[in-house]
Amino acid sequence: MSKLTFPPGAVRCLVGDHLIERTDDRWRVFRVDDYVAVERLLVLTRDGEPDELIAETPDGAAPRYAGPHLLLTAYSERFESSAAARAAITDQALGEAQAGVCRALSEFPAATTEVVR
Amino acid sequence: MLQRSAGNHAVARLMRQAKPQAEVLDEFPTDSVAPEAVPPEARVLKGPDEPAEEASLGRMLLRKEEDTKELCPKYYRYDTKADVASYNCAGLAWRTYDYRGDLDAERSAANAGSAPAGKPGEVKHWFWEYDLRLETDDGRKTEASHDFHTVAGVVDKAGKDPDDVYTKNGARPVFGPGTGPGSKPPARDRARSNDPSNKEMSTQDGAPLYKKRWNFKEVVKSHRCPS
Repeated sequence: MSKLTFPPGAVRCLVGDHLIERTDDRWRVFRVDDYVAVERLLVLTRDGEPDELIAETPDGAAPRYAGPHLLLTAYSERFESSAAARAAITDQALGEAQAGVCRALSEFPAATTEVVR
Repeated sequence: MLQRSAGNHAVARLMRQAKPQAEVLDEFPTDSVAPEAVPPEARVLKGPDEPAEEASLGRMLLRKEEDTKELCPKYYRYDTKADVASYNCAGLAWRTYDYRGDLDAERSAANAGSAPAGKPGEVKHWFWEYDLRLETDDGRKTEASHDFHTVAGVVDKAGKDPDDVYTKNGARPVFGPGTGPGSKPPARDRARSNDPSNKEMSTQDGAPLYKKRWNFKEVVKSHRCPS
């Protein structure tokens, strides 16, 4: 379980690429800002109050957030087709941008995601 | 039985001849202990390709792996070429060498077997699930989570439980050989990093971190030897 392996079936993108994701019959756009490894931290409490943070150390259970993850800027516009989304990227007409969105790379399978470089 | 007898005599001889080691051996009431309980000086965790001879206390105690080799070769030792960080206890127990970390799925997989019948060659799986938290001796603790551990081994020609069971916890190293019941996680032991370094974990002020486990549920089922 490596955080440094491209998940099978997922797109392979570069920082700065745009991802066009199909959800139901609509398309939305993300910009790839970074690859990151996400690790769950446990809160160690003293007398019920947070004392410090500890790296999770499970037994057989998988670490909570299998990666790698992408830090993305998500755009608000939805499009009728991937071609319309591509045109909007070119025209910089993607709508409101929300930075700091984190999603697992495995959530972007090549079957439903297009990479625009 | 001949192998077993020879093994026991060899252990007894070792205990007589090596005074310091005898003190170590005296601490082994059975032929298997939890890896965490093995004193460092006796921790002879050899890979499957290494010769089974006097270098390893584990090998001295090993009795049934030759049966495993014949009855279900996939369970003869384990694949040391597999990246130890890329598979967990279930990946080892099923000899798939992948990270099978979905507790519900692994419970179902274990439960899909049949009641152990003591049939030579059947693969006996032990599966435990439990609540788990980290804690310190001075009362600090984390929220509980639900976790599991599982091991498997091959019933020998005499219909007896295996003693060549290998175990690993998460992405940590493989330990063994031992028995199935002997691989049950302890109620409390040192927390270690979930990677091949297996380092003991402590708080920022140096207090040892421990894993506390409770509410154990056990599944023991037998499965066919995979091809």
